[in-house]
Amino acid sequence: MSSHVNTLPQVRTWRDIQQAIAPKAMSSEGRKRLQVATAKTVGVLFALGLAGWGVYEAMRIWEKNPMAIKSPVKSAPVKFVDSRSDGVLDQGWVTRTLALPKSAGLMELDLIALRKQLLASGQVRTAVLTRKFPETLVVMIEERSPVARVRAQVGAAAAKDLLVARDGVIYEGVSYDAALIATLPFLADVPLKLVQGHFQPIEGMDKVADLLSTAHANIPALFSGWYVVSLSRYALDGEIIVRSKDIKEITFGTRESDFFKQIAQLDLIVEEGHVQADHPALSINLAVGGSQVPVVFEIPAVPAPGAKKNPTVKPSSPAPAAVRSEPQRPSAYFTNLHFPSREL
Amino acid sequence: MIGELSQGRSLSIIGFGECQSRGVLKGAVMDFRSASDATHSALLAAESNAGVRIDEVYLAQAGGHLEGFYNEAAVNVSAADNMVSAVDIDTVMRLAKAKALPEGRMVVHNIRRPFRLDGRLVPDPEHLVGQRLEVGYWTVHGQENKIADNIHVIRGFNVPVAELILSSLASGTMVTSAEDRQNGVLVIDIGGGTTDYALYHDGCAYATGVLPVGGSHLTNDLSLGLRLTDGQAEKLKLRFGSGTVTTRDKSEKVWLNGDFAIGDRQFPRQAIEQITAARVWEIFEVVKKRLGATFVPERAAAGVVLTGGSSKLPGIAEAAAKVFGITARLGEAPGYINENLRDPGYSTALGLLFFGLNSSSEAAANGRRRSGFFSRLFANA
Repeated sequence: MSSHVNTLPQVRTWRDIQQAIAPKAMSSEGRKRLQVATAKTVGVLFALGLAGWGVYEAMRIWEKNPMAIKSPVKSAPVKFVDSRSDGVLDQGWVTRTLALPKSAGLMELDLIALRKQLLASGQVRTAVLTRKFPETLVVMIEERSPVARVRAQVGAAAAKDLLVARDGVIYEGVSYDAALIATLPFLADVPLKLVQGHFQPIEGMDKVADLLSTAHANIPALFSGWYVVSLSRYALDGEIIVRSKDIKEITFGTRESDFFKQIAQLDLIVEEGHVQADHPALSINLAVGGSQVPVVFEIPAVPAPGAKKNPTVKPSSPAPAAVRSEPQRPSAYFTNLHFPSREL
Repeated sequence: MIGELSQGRSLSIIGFGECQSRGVLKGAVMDFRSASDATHSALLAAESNAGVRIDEVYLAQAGGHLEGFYNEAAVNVSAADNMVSAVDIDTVMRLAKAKALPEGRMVVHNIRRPFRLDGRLVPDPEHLVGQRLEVGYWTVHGQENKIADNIHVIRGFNVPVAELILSSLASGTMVTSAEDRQNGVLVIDIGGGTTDYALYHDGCAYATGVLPVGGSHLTNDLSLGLRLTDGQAEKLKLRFGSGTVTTRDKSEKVWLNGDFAIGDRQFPRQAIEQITAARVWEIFEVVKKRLGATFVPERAAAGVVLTGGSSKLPGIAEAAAKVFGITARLGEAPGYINENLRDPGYSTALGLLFFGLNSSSEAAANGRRRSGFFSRLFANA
């Protein structure tokens, strides 16, 4: 059947008639319409061609000289850099870091690249750059606050002290008060990873920051003696070890008990007089939890028979505890604690 | 007449223009320039009336050169389970349409009649079970050069012709209802130079035809019979012409102008009516003869519907009823058509818009895209 259908005669229909006619055969109105239609067609084709050429040119310029596209209009050069920061970074630092060319126009500035320059310093958490016409660049900076220090040595260079923020970012502090920095404890036993010239953020710094801020707020006198915070057991046991002037090792737990309770327990131990200069504690383990706090004391040196007591050695007076009134001290909440002590 | 399609579903008639026909005789272009000028002035008037530019034209075809024939084909259903497939339908349709035409003739319309599956009429045989599928087409064909002339007149306005539609089909669709066409109806469109007719059965056109005789022949008869100019004869025809002789008083006379000016004359009214009625009667007789056995009064329950400019002649419906032996009436445009466009002379133009709406809806329903921006852009240029 199909072969039969394929041999059917071709029937011509009116659609086979060529509709186009010569302009001569048209009426004047028809010719006018033809001219308009032709002009419209040419116009559309021209516009399309123009658009295509424009796209091609733009792509070509973008590949060769992007700045030519970025500065389509002549703008006034930047005269002022208005910097605002919530920290210690000042106008001078911002100006030095941005290092804008003298004749740079406001519209020519690559704000994204400038922002990257600012963020290259770990001290800057966020940076927002805006153009304020006609000639001012506004820079708003949010800074990181240092929580601790860490000593690092890269290659053969001399070791230097860096600052660590709450989010673990390690950076060189700029414009900080040296006295303030000196009060920050050092981080110890922290594996530092250097990637492309920058240290990777330290994990667990949020816990350390919580501990330090709690201690700083509640036991400022004891806190002033903390000089090392060790994270050697943080990864495995979730414990933070603090070394201080008075107690060689204070262990804080991060898993169950909150820092305020542990700080209160520590404060009570010190307050009750268990730790004294002539009866120093080697370690206090606050990570055990509950009301049990193992305290290890150092055996006082036994004077040789017949030896006279050194008259210059005075029993060290406990650290001034009356920073705050008595009921406000955290130890006031733990009056019935039991301290199983063990002498070595 | 200009219609505006909204969302492919509804059509609003937004403008129309008309002018005196020139350069066309019996539906064929005799003077290209005159015909173009007349057509283009009507198109311009329609555009200015509508306030838009015409995108495409649906063109009615009339003229003595248009003829029709019926051809049918049958195939055996190919599937083993005797279920009719789309391939069977396509095959039988192609076979039915494939009939070679004489040299210089080309198809204007292929009007399909309902399918027959094992002898029963079915509108859509796909997925029905049967053994023999038949279909017939009424093919309307015309002289290639005359059709091309018509198209070129429109193209001279730099507007493409989207579709050619037989004048009788256009007007017939407008003045009859679907129910009329289902029950059987004969539509006669008496125009200026031609008379078109279409016979409908079972909801589709069974036969169509064109007589090269129209209202202008009535005018010509009066002009010859009463020795008048064409203008005077036209005036008398419009004022006193009739499809049947109703005046019994031979002495009753009518004035040519009625203004008693020099040259105004009197004519016997009965003579005017006799001349016009004789021509009208003859037109109907020829239509009946052309239809031959296809016309069965019992299968035209909806009767004869008259339309076209000359159908306004008084008594013409009575004449048609007597000749065909069935009821006859004047066609009326549907109620939703504006009062100004309800004249029978507009029925063909309204029918063209109706066809345009249907073809757009079919295109939308079949997922076919209408010509896009670029094809229109280049088509007009």
